Amino acid sequence: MTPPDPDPDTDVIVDDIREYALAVGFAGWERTYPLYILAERDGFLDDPTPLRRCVFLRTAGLSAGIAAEFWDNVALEQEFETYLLDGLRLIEPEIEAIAFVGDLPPAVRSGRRPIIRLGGARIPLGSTGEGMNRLLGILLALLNARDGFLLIDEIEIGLHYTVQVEMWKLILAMAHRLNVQVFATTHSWDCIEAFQHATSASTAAHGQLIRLQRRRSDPSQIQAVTYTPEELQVVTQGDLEVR
Amino acid sequence: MTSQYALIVEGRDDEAVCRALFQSRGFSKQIVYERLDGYDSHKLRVTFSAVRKSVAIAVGIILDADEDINGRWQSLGTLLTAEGYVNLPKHPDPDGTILKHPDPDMPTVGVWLMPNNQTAGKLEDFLAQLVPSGDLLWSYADTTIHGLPEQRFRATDRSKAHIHTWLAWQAAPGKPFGQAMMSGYLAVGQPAANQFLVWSHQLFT
Repeated sequence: MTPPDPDPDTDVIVDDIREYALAVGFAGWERTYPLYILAERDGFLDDPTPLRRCVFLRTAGLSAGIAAEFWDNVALEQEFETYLLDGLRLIEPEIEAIAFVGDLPPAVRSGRRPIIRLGGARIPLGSTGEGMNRLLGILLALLNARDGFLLIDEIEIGLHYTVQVEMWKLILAMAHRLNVQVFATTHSWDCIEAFQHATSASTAAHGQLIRLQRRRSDPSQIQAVTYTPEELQVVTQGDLEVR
Repeated sequence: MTSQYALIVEGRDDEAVCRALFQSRGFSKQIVYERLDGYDSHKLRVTFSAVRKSVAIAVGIILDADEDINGRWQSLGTLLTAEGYVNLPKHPDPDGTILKHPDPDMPTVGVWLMPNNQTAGKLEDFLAQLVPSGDLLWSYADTTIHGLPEQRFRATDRSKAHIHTWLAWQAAPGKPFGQAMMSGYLAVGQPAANQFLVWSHQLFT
């Protein structure tokens, strides 16, 4: 993916100052969209250099094919296995190892599934509990977004409330370790409550609720209202309606 | 979808009294109650901030004036100024204070300091004004408290002892405040209640 050429009539190019562009497309598939540095030298734009990783998880979540691709991107990176197993063990402490293996010869990407070793036996990850595949997907996305950004749309889809609390704890812990800034959207009150529980228990990363609403005085404008953790506690424990 | 009106109160009794007063006058606006469970300036600040961000039209704050009404008012002034409200009067309005925010998207705020925005005191002093005038048991309770062989409560809590004693002697002894109002032991039509209702009606428009 390449950024558009600068338009001399509308774009400003400044000598000796780097300008950052966030190139994120909503093209219907999951992709890593790097942030680019656009730098000019001698009147010519350099080839854009990726500055920050940016990963986008759509509502539908991670398909098996994309999960395998995410796995391929980070497999054998420094401490990859440690982070992955530590993350999964937050939910299932007895996991010994994990791998993506094909279940149809020849092994094509979409035919690869995650399996784990638990108590010495190889079993599909999905059989350890509801939502485990989705949690693996989030973990792999975090790994792919190390030192960068992760955007997750409608984060609670497909996850029961009780799993959502664990999910948030997982994200808070791993986002901190992997230095990822996570932006997640939701319309679900249960999900906000789960977020509040997880953030009040966490000392690692900082979580913040931002509510987007239309201005009463000018409904064409959207305003962002942020809640501190204490304020979030007041909101989730009382009867205030904030959706 | 968003809540329209909220009332921040100190505790269950305050909430029950408000509900009973509003119900007695057919005041049917949907109000969210947030209880502080004991006044604490930090808790009030956090609660007010959370409520102010979440409510569309108006937020009321009902606190006991306690012993130092000026101190309480100063403290509120600091809180409200920090939230962007301006032109807070030097003293509370005897009819209850109402302040609009300069930003039209921010809710209006109202403040009522029990009992009457002017004197030291608490909720129970407000309720004392709802006891039917000339009530024999009310003055008898006062005399009794005066003649107790042993003083266990603080002087500032005398009004609490008084009203709970009086309520213990009613036809159905020991009703909590809200029920006492619904049963008519406490007269909701008294002038003291009227002004409170005018203020809340104006606030929650």
